[in-house]
Amino acid sequence: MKLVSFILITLILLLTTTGCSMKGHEFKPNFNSINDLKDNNLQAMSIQNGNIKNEKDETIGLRAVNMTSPYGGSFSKYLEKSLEEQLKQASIYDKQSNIKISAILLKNDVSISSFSIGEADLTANFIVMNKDRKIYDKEYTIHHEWESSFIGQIAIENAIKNYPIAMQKLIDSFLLDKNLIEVVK
Amino acid sequence: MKKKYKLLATSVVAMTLLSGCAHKISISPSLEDIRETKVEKKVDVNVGYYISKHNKQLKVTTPDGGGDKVEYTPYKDTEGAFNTILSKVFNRVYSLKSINDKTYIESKNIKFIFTPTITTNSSSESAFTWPPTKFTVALKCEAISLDGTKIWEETVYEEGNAEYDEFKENFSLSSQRATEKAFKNMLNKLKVSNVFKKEK
Repeated sequence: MKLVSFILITLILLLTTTGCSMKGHEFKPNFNSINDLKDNNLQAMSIQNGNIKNEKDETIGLRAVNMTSPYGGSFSKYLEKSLEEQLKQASIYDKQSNIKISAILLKNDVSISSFSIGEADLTANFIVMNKDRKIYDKEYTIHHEWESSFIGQIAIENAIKNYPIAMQKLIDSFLLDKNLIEVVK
Repeated sequence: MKKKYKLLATSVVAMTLLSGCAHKISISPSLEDIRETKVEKKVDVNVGYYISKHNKQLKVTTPDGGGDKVEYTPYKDTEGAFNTILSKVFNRVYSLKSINDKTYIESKNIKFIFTPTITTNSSSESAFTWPPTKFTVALKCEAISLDGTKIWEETVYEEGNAEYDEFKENFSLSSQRATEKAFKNMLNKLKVSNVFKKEK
């Protein structure tokens, strides 16, 4: 009986933990939102690099694995790079533009503690400046859920796959906001 | 006690073997060079591109080193590159959910619809490291007009290579080099084609 318990514990440990650090997936834009972005005829914008280093830049704990950002290990950088890529794909990015966006990641929570659902809660503050004038300042929070699993490897892979989708939702809520369109048109 | 260790070792080996290890890589190319490619003048028409839902979710596995396999999503990984090369050449580019949605296509004033077909393979000279040292890609691109007539088609074949010292920082490197070359090459074919200018 002891032997059976021993084998079971070994198997459960192998299934639920891998004990290492994994790089997250790079951002992939949402091309349906990009269609809408193109139709909104916005002026070209650029990204103000924040160089913000806070606890949101730390790794994300996914059971026994730590997910790190593929953008220099920083999740603030992840937000900046994702925003930049979304603008570039919509052909509204210009490094020289006077309209500058700064995005500050305030909340970056991913949880796969449940065996059935994985959850991401992201919050960011978006500020848009036109030369020296602040023309937009809003905070957005998104919640994203996906199917998770008891098995660690599957739960971790699903979380890593879903983080960029959560980021897409956060960026979409900002870039498709009517108030932003009004001030950047 | 010895028996216990034997069992533990057997469990570990069995779990490792049974996990059917396919290493996940991303074949997304770097877009910086593609974006810097000079295009004299854009063709002043709107175009659409269509990648089916099935293809967007398609997972492909090809061989790598040590008898393992690599797994990737070729269409999802390269959609950004496809949108980028079309945006370099045409006025406005739309991603189409359906090739048959005439109302949407007409409302966006789309004149041509592009469809990519991607075929890949990979291999490694190493028996001890899994990342592919060689990756090949065949990128076929077809354009049809609104009545469904094929008006343009090109296929490019490219290969990407990476040695251990290079790919230890990026396991996907050979694949990304191959797709970058393929999309750059396709952009060069698109920008010199007169077909779209004539059809305007």
